[in-house]
Amino acid sequence: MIERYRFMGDIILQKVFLMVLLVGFLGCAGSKPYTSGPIKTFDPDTADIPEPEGKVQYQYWDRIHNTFFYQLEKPLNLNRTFRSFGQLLGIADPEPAHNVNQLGEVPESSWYTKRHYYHHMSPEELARGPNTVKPDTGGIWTIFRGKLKGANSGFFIEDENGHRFLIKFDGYKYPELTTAADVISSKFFYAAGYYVPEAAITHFRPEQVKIGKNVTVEVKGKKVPMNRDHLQQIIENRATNEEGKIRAYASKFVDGKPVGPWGFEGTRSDDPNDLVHHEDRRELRGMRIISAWLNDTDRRDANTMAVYTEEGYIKHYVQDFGNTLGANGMLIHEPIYGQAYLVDPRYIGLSMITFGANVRPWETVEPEVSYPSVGYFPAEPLKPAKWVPVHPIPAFENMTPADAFWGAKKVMSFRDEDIRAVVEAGRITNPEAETYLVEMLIKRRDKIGRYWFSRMNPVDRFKAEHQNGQLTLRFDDLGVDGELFTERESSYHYNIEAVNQDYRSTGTAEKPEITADLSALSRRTGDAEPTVLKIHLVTRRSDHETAEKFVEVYVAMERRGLRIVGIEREQ
Amino acid sequence: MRKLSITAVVLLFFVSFEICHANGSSFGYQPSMDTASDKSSHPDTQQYKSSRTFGGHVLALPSYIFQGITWPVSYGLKTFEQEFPNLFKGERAPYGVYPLFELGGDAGAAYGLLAYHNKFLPVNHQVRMEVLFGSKDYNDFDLEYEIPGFVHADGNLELEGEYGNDPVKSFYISNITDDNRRTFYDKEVKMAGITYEQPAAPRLNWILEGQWKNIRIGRSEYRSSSDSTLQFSPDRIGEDSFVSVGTSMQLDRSKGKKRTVGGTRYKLGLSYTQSLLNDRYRYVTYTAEWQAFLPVRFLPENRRLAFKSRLRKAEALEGKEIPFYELPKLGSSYDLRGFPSDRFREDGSLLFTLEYRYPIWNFADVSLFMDEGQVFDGFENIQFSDFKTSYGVGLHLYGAGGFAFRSEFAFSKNHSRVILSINPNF
Repeated sequence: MIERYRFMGDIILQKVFLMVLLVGFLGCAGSKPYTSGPIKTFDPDTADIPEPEGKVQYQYWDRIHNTFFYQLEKPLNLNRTFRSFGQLLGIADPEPAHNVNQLGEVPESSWYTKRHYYHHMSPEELARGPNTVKPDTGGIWTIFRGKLKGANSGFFIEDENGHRFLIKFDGYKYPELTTAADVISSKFFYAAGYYVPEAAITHFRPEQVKIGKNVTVEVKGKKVPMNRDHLQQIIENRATNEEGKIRAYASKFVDGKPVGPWGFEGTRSDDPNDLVHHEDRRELRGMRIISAWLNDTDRRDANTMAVYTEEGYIKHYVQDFGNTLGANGMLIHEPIYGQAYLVDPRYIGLSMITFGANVRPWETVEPEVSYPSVGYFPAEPLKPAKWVPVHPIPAFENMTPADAFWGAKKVMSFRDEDIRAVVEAGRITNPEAETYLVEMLIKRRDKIGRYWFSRMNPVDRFKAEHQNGQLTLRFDDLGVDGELFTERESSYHYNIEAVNQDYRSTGTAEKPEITADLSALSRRTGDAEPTVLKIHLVTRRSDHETAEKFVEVYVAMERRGLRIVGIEREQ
Repeated sequence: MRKLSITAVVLLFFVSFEICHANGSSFGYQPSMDTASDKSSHPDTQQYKSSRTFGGHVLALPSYIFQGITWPVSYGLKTFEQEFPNLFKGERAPYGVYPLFELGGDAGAAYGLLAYHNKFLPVNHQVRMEVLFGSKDYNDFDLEYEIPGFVHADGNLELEGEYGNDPVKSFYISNITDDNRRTFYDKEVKMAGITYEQPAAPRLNWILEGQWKNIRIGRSEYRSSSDSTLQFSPDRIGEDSFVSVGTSMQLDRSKGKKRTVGGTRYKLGLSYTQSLLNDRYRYVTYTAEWQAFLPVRFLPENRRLAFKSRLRKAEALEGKEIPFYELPKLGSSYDLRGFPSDRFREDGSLLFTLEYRYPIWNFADVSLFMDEGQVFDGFENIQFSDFKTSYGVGLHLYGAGGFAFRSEFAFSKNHSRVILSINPNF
């Protein structure tokens, strides 16, 4: 009898064995690391679709879901769990982003446009950001909606040119803080490639504001017609300029129809163009690095906006930057922000089992606010790999080193003068405060750059030439360009081989330029696949400890010349 | 052989990863379209797509099941957020109605409603009503009306009325530990009270109280199979009305915004009570309480020891008596927490509580506690060996305004109790 059970057990085990084998292999599929076709530069998710119904914007549900439900669900997805085990054993890579081309770049789409890193924007362009118009402060503003809620009060206006704006104010305790943060961060996000609403600092006199018909505000839970007293309550004790005009943040209504938030997980079922899981989009995963730089702690579903455009597709906006830099809404950031989630089981568990002996780094820090208009925005506590927003975001949690490198490139693309120009758009009146903010942004930028450019090989923007039987591969060392490392201490070790021919060459370059003699390669003719060169490149820094990860660049020797057809980065 | 097979299964999985890794593909997903070298169409004309393979779906099955199981909860929470947004904001609306439930105690479980209005009338008067129904005849109604700023800017006048009926109250007398000496009684209370509180000096509050109550004690129909056949004494059955007046002083030298992290609190109280329907009862009750909070050295101040000692004594006057239900008691969610309600009852009670409270997050503390207490008839009878011990662990939650909720698990030699309360112990 026992033997019989043992026999049956073996049969079951065999079946499990076969199932696992099947599932394991069905679970993956391969592709080569370069393309013989064109490089994808655009993801055509802008096809005309029927107007979707507005999606409900939850202020709390996404936080509850991401903090509790999603965390429980994650390990139950065995794709993810087994991959994590594989990573621990060093035999698997993290789940790569689903929308990157062969060069590791994100093609343009309704989510993202290549901007500053790819096409250098002047300081003026950076400061202008997406802005096309400003509220017309010469004429009358008509309020068409109001919100009466203490410091968070504000209203919507239409100016005499017919442009509609959201008007918000600073908190009473910290003049200029929130409005400046909102404007400055929106410009950085825009330059990084995201769609953001137009935003600017404006100043107005109460006399130029009139209340439109049928405008109501909520008083003690009841809707009442808005009157001048309500307007006075909204604008009293707000920051003013030297002319006595009230300072406000004005955000222009975007073209098209808002249809709710877009969310950092899954896809929108009512958008047939939305085919890539948001948590696996590189521009959303890599956003974590930009958010870390700006301490954008309140990034979450509710602070995004999907807009049904006049062209008939959904465009994806990032909005609400009032919890960035030193601002936390109407107040200042607390030291914990950026270092841990609002509910963080990692630290809670540790505190519980150590009976409180574990002292968390932010516990003993009293936020020091040198400038009310800057708030609490130090560089020292920033840990680039550990930065988190207030609530978990699936896309941020999925960030791989490759995604982080992509984000770090964007952050490092802002030079000191670029940062200064963008900060000036925040119109902080105290020059010392402005200088301090610029300094902190520079320090935080460099911290991010130094961290990620030491863990990934920061060479990029490859250009290949073929002249007189000689290959020249030029590239940018972003670490040197960002002045994190010097040229003198940097060297580039390479190994070139032909993928489909017998060819090898090895060497070391002292500057970001590799040359190799290709005369030994036989020329392909007719319809034959062109020869593809694989250039394995490792950057070494003599005075710094870096991970010395490789980059493999694939160069196709086509009839029209050389073309970069693939880039692989070791993570 | 079997072990080898299992190892092989696990290895196979990782081998499949290795193959995926080598090919640079995405496990469980179809390869992205632009990676294909299909020259028939430009990659810019085809969209990226996250689509799981069959194997990917199989491996994700447990998470799909989880989503299905939790769907009703998530749907409910989303609906709740839309319908009652204030609850999520942690802000109470100026008025509202909430469900109320009470667990533990003799009633087992009780359910009801809490209605309140914090801006009653044109001024900031506060009114609050609680209705609680438990087992067959258990019920409790409370009505409170509060007038802030009465007489003095920081003065507070509170009017209170209560009706309660509990047919299954446990009765133990003295410090005896034998649980089999329990009997039951039926109690009905009607009460009206007035309390005035005003600061006498910085950190010193002076409180005046007056109360009328009518109490009816009857025999309980309830019998527990495990209890002895002891009968509730007929001497204790009857009805009386009482009037009492009292005063107390509270000196609060504690410090801390949300949590009390240091300093001391002192409370002294004295009350006089006499019966109205007959001349059987006349007595005074006095209470002295000391609380101290001490940060643990070398750690941030929110890791602290909290100590409470309380002495309560009732003294009959002019040869009169003290009704048993008015005697000092131990055994509640505030003292000797590991024992049943009113487990010990005598002329006096003495309590010591020590808690180590440490934060596990900015809104939550863990509390490890120990209560030591005894009841006695005279000070000369207080014995070290008569102290009863309970101990436990609790989770305390704090809102922006301070303490919000505690959940504690308390144990004693023969009992345990789960405490869920919106009031702090101290």
